[in-house]
Amino acid sequence: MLIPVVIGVTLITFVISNVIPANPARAWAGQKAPPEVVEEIAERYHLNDPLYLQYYYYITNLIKGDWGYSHSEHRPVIDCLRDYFPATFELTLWAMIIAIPIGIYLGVVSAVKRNKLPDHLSRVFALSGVSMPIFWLGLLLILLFYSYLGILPASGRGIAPSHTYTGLYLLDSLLSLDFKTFLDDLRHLILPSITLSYATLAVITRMTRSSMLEVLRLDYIKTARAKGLPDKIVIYRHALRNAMLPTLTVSGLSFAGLLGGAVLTETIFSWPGMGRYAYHAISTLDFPAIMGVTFLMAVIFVIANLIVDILYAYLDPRIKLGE
Amino acid sequence: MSKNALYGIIAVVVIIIIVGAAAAVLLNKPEKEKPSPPAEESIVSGTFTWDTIGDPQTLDPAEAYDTASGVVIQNVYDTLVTYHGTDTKTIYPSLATKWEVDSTGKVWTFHLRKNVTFSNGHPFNAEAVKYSFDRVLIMSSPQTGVSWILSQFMYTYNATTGKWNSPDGESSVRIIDDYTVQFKLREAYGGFLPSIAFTVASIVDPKVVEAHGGVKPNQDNDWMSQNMVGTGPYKLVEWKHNAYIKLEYNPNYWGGWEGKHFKYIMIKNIPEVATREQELLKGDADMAYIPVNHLNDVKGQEGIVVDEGGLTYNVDMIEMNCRPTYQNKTNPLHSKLVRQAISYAIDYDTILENIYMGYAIQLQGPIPKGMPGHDDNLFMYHQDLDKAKQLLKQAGYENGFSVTLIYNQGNDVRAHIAQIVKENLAQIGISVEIQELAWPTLLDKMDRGDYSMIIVGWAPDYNDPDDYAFPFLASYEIGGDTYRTGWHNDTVDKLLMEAKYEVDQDKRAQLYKKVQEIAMEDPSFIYLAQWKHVAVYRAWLKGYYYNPVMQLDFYHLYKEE
Repeated sequence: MLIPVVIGVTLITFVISNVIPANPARAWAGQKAPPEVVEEIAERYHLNDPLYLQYYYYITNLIKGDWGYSHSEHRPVIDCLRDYFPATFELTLWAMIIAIPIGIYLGVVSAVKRNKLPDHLSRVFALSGVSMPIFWLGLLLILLFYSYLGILPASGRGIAPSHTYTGLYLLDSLLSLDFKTFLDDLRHLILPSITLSYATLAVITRMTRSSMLEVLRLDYIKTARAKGLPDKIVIYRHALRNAMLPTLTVSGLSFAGLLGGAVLTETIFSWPGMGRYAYHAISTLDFPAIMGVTFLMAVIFVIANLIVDILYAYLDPRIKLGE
Repeated sequence: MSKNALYGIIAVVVIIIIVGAAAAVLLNKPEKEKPSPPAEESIVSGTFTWDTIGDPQTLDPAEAYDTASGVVIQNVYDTLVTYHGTDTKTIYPSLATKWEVDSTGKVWTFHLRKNVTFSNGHPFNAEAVKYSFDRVLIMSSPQTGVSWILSQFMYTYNATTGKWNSPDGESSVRIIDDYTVQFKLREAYGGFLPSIAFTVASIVDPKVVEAHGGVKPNQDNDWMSQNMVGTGPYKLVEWKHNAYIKLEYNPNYWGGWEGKHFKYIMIKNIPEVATREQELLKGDADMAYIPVNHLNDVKGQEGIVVDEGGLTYNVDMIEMNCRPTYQNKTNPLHSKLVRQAISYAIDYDTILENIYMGYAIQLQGPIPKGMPGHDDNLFMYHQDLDKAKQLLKQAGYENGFSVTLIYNQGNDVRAHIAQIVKENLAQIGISVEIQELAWPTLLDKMDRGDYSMIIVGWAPDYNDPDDYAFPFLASYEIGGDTYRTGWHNDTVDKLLMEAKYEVDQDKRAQLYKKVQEIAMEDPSFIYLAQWKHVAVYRAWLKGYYYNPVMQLDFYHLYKEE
């Protein structure tokens, strides 16, 4: 599964990036660079070779662990990803930790109290989450929590922990037993992760609501109620478990999607993540960087799908893995 | 997993977080500033926080060619000579205390400052100077090509033979004794001193470079691009890419630390202007980059200074394709009369007032105001539609024609300029098709001469007219025409070459005067705007000044409430 997907993704990205009518060497060298320098860069990075040869060089290097050289940052792509991926991963992880439980809870409440006040409130909340531009939400949160209340910071990831184990600041600061840094980093995470989570939270709420409504109509729920089981058990153990499958799919794909698509949140909160890196790479024709980010994202999508499939089997005993 | 085990794990995680938070609160006492005054009356304390945009591409002076890199390099490294304060006319000593030049203008002798050490304690001497200059030319940075600034007048290095392209096979820099070096230039160059005040001529520590990869021909040094050891006032503590750069004062700095200075410098990379504004207004940033169209958000706010001191050397122009044909058709812009007509059709005043919001003056020719060689009496175009129509008629285009006008994606100022130019040219019968292109695509079209007009800009490398007039007006054949206008004038080529290698500054000024007159009479550019400088900072920040050829100087800044 992994291999064909990765080959397909790298090939398509490679071709698309290279049909842009522009000379990447000129873009890398800058406006003032003399023609000799541009020519030398083109030569050095095989830009004058036919496309299939360039792709061959790229893939063989990739297999050897060489992800290429990022021209927008003047250092190897792998070094850039090592800096930026953990930042985005940490942000996305917290966004999902916020979005999934709250989204599911609101969805369930909404379904159970259908057409009553809690349902209306949660639907308005969800609708605004889907339709509100992330950009605007981020600025509002900064105005409220930073400018007026002054309780949370507006930019950056906070103090870097003294040792880097994983690149995830919270985990690293805990591992280095540096609680001051931990607290500082936690405060920096709150606003961006809320901003990033809202849209996903809204989608999860809507998804859970509609599948819960479907499940609650089914006969076995009536049976459960007829047996005299308490409401909580009927809803959370009998109904929710069956209603979870679509929610799970959405959550898995959102997680992978947010990793690559957090560019707006990263921009507003100056979060040094992969979205900004990718955006900058695209605008400077930094092909190796674009390829690196795409490749990493492809791998993550495959892994996220795999995890969702495994969880499916856990939730629905009818699905058996490996058959 | 059993339910009990799950609850167990959750309980443990919650306990860890609570204990962690409690410990953090208990331990979270404000850190005491360690007293660190190296001299008696010095107060080195606090952090200067600067919210700005853009991450440096590299911290290696031999490779760096962008503003974000330049500002860090200038504050960590030193050059032989420099500028002081707002003065752009005088060159001051820095690591060199005095210098002499012989009558040919080719041999320069520099006497070096004694008792200077790098921030790691290693001594600064003539060897370091020779090593640093040779390194730039041997490395000949393949990423940026910035070494051209030195190779215009110094001997270059031949990587194949391992020898210098000089009569005796040695480099331009000769060590006379420990504290004297001599530069034997390939050509006398009028802009020699200004160009070695640029960051590319920063002095590095030979021992540090040798310990980390040394100098390899045509190859950048990866270690040097991420680390710094200089003789300047600050040293690098940490660079978190796309997030921040932290500098700390260098106690060994030869300039000393008397008076008030910042101990730490925090350069934060914040792409969103609203976030920068909020941090500045809140006082968490001492200074912030606020573009002119957002200045009204901060103007008049308590505790905020909007400092409109001085002119920059940043200029905006519209280049015109002067080739005889364009896309296999006759190119109307080939005609001098047509280019004059277009220059007369532009409503400069409206552009300056409404788009630059008054933060620019009309650019008076190719050499900006304030730079040596600028001519205050040079002819400038003003809008005169009758004259423009008459010129078009004279050129045989009274029925007009159509052109494309290109600008780079995301540049709001240029987008608005394009609209006004379109309206202006419609009034004389020229129809304009506006194209917004990604930067790399724009450059590609420029290189191939596949355009009619492009809105472009230029920023200074060093304080010399050769850095402007030559790339704009010299022909491609002699290494000019960076914008590929295709404009070619033999007289101008000759004058520019003469001015380049003339060391008598008065004579040079005369040569540039002639060049500028020809350039205005036969315009290859529409000279639009020269930006004014605006800095926005907290009123408690003192010691700020602006010099168009230097980067922000942290050493002279301090805080006073």
